[in-house]
Amino acid sequence: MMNKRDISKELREKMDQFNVDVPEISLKQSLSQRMVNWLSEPVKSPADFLFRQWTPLKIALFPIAAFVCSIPFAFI
Amino acid sequence: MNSSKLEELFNSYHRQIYQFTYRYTQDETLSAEITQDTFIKFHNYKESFDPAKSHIRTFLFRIAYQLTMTKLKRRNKFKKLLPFLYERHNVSSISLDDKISIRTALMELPQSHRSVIILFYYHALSHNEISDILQIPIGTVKSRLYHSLKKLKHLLEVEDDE
Repeated sequence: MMNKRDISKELREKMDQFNVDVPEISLKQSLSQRMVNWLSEPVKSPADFLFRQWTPLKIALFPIAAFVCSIPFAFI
Repeated sequence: MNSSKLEELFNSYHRQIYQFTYRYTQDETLSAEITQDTFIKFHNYKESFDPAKSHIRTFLFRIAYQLTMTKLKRRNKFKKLLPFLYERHNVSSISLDDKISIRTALMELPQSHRSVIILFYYHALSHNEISDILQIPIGTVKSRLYHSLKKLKHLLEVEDDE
């Protein structure tokens, strides 16, 4: 059966570079802390996505499309 | 099991569980949450643990692995729903000329292979124990280990001394 020593020294040295520092973790779950973590998670700005995906023509047509889509609401 | 015994167990194993999940996900917050959840799940399902069948460490690793898979699947679903909120992991950004680190190399491995190499190398677990944790045959453990070492050597540009 293979063991750690069967791995080449060079590869072992590279793998040993991945050290992990363990933060303070408590046994008790805190829902509020999890919510804070979730809300503070870095995310991309949706505006970047729109600007990358949308061509000038699409941007120009957006108000017209929004107007057309909102017409049915006028009859409610 | 009373709370002091659970706390004792937590103090003995939480570092190993965190290190495993962190090396697997490379996400601090997620790894800390999985570590907490592992012990809470163990406490809730302690009746299903049979010391005659497996070691407590193996049992905890199995719970942690299952939780990691569930949370990653959930996260991927969320990414599919709101893709514009997530940075896309750009695989092509790694040029062949760049020397990549072990962290990047591990993330390049398929998930099934990554878990095997982490448990084998960083936690010194036997093939039997890995097979028990991942619920796969020993032959699959050996084959995944062989292929992940081969891929790591290639990615990290390590000379093949076979």
